[in-house]
This record gives sequence, structure tokens and C-alpha cells, in this order.
Amino acid sequence: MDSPAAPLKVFVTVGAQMPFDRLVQAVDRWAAGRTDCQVFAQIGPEAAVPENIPWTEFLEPPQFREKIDWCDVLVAHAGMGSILTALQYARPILVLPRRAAFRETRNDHQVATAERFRDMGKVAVAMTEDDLPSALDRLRSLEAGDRIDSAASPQLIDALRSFIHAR
Amino acid sequence: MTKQSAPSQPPKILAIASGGGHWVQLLRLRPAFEGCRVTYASVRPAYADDIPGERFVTIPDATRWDRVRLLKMMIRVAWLVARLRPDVIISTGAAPGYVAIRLGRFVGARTVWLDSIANVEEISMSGRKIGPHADLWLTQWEHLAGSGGAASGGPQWKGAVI
Repeated sequence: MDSPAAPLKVFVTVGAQMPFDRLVQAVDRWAAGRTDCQVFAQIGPEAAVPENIPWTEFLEPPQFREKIDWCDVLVAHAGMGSILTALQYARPILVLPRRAAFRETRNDHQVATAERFRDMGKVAVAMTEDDLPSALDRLRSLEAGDRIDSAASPQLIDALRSFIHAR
Repeated sequence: MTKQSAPSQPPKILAIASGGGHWVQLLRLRPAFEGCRVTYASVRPAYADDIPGERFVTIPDATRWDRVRLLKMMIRVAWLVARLRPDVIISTGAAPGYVAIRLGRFVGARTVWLDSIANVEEISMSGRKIGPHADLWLTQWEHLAGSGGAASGGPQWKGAVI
């Protein structure tokens, strides 16, 4: 008889600017009664409080990094801070893009970001909250994109260096 | 316009960004600042932990939709630019970088705007506004080079933060 796999550690993050109840509530519903995962959510300001998972509104950068380090997988809005940090820590990341129509953000750039980064193999995407439960069920088999180092591309660094020192 | 630093002195850089992805992208540019005297400015005091040993200044967080906070931020950034008199101002957005670059010309700074990698389909609104005022206007997507509707010919593409 196989022993059960260790609980999957899931870190949910929505950024510091605005809540993202559509994402957090969907994960909260999915997590109800599950014993095969441990979920922790950073839910943002003025957010609806989850019932089934531990949460906090904000995380200062050191605590945020601790959570990224702790987790096996991230579930997040399609913000570049979340995505780049996931890549730097080589954690698989599933994103749900914020949408202007739901007053979750100012414009729909997160949709385009999510699609582009999915096509580059760097993130998994649930385009709507209806796609979330099945995407969450598949979290354990999500693979991380290639780990990125801590610096921009050499081309960009060189271009900036040249500009800085050309005087 | 007199120069801020004698040619023999390392350039003085103001590296300024909003929080979240803007700050994360700014940090990835750090190797370009080697050998320079850098002051970092952003919207959360705890970001100083990301750059131990470096100068960090906290500025108010503001977007163009909140007039009062915008004014507070503009005053703070104006004071910072006037006091520091940087040779170079670099920003990955958003509003604080816009303000710094617009004011930078009054202290003779040369300026760089790097549009966020999140702007995949089109240049950001701030980018379109500030681009023509920056000495170096960059997009991180090759297909956006030359776009943005600017008479100046739009941003250049010189690579990305990843």
C-alpha cells in the first residue's frame, strides 16, 4: 500500500495593492475538507476573509520570501512581482488574471501577460474562476519554468551600462 | 547646464520604482549600476532589505487617480531629485518614475524609462507619456519597439529583465 504523499504546500498571493476575492474564495472553496494540501493565503487589503485556510492581508518582503521558500507551488494573480519571484525561486505558479470588468484592476494587461508567459512555458493559467478547480486539482503535477537568475539579460545590462557611462 | 559629477567621479544614479513587479524588475538591473553611487527609491520601507548596504529612500505610493497622494509623492520626489542631483535617473515605472524623469531635466540628469515586462501587447500609458521625455526609452518586447504613437519614434528594444 502506498503511503500518502506529503501534503502539497500551496501559497496563494494577490499582491499588496488590491484584494482579489474571485481567486481567494475559489481556492478557499476548493481547500475545504482537503487533507492532501496545506494552503496559506496573502489576501490583500479589504478582502473577504477565507473560512477554510489560514491567511494574512500583507506580507513584508522577508516574510513573503519565507512563504515562497516554504511552498511547493504558488497560486497568484498574474502580477509580474509574483511571476518573477516564482521563477527566481523555481516554484511552479498557477495564475488567474485580474480583469477590469470585475474592478479587480485598471485594465486587462494581466490577461495578456498570463497568455504570453503561459506560451513561454513559464506559468500555468486558469483564465476564469471556473477553470480553477480542475487546475488546482492538477497542482501537484505542475512543473516550474526554468529557474531564472537574479539579473536581467546581459543585453539589457550592457545597454544600460553604456548609457550610464557615456557622458 | 553644469554637470553634477566631475568626469573622474562615478556616476550618481537615482533608481526609482513603484512597488511589486516594478521594484522586482528594478532590482534585476543592479549589475548595470556597478561602480556607481546609487540611491534607490520606492514605496515600502521594507524594500531596503532587498538591497543591504545601499542607500534607500521611501517615497509615498501614488497613482494618477489619487490627486492628494499624487501631490505628496510629487513633492517628495522633487525634493529627492533636487537634493541628490543625480547624473542618471532610471525607472521601471510607474508614477514616481514619471515624476522623477520629468523633473530630472531641471538638474541636468540623463534619464531612462524601462517599460514593464507586464506590458506585453502595448506600451503602458505612463510609458507613452514619459517616453518622449526620457533620453532612453525602452520596451522589453521586441514587437513593441517603435510603437507607442510617439513622434520620437517609440521605444527601443534592448532585451528584457529575464
